[in-house]
Amino acid sequence: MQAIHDLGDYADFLRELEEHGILFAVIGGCAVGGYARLMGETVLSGDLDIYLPQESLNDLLAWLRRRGAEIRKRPRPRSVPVAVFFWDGKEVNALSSSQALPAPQIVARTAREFVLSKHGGVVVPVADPFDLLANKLAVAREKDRPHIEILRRFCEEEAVAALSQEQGRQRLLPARRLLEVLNRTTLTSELAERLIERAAEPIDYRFLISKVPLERQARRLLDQAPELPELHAELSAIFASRKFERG
Amino acid sequence: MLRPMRQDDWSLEKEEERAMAQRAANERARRAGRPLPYPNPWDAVDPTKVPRDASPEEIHRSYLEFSKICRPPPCKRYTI
Repeated sequence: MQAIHDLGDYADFLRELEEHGILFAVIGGCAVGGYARLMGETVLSGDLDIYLPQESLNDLLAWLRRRGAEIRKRPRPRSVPVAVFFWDGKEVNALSSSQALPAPQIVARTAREFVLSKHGGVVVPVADPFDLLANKLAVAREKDRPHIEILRRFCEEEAVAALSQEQGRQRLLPARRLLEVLNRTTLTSELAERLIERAAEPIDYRFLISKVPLERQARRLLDQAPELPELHAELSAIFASRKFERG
Repeated sequence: MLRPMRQDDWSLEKEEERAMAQRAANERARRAGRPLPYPNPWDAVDPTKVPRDASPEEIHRSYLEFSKICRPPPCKRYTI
């Protein structure tokens, strides 16, 4: 199957889903393509993957039957819960479960909205990039490697932006989620450098000193932390308890 | 009247016995359609609480109240 499609190629179908009130979120290559586009890159896909609760999948199949759409595969008990059909000659996979993704209701609720400006402003729910990254890592197919790379970079940018723009605990949420999704206890050295540059609040320092991989990065944090005696004592204690990578 | 609990009176077994007795009394009162003898004090101030036989409208109102207290985070939107 050739990877030649993006979200815009499915705009009519996605508009119909929206108009029929079907609860869903786009996952897979087209979803990655949406996030890639925001970074000025192009990722195309051979098909459209949508993720939806079983009830919505039943509604979708009934609606497709009424429309006379060609349904290639229906979900069967004890098999992969996916329906495969063609819309306007293009393949669509509708899944109601997928590895490492939360329940479809949750994914649909936490999805981000992509407005397709060249297609009459169709609003498309696309799964959260952190959820997508977790999903791609769990599926671990060779062909997903470029997708993993793009999603990882997108999530890193979000971690950096949060530290520059957000307040309170929101400042650190993307960085925490990234570590969780990557199943790592420390940041990569490159991301750590970018976050250290933007550290400003005591919570930033408390978080970073326990997550930077290199000793010199932790020392930098001790040097640049605000002059608050309690904070320094706390950071020093964390520093003393840390093990660092070589570098 | 509420009295401070004496530390030497306290035991897990007694507490469990008291809680189970209160729960049974509540259940008997509920079945008989009487007010609960040991109501949960939080129920009176919780706008999301619905009775066991709540109608779909009552459940919907409760959901709206819950949404006010615990709003979903704003959805991120991008134009491409």
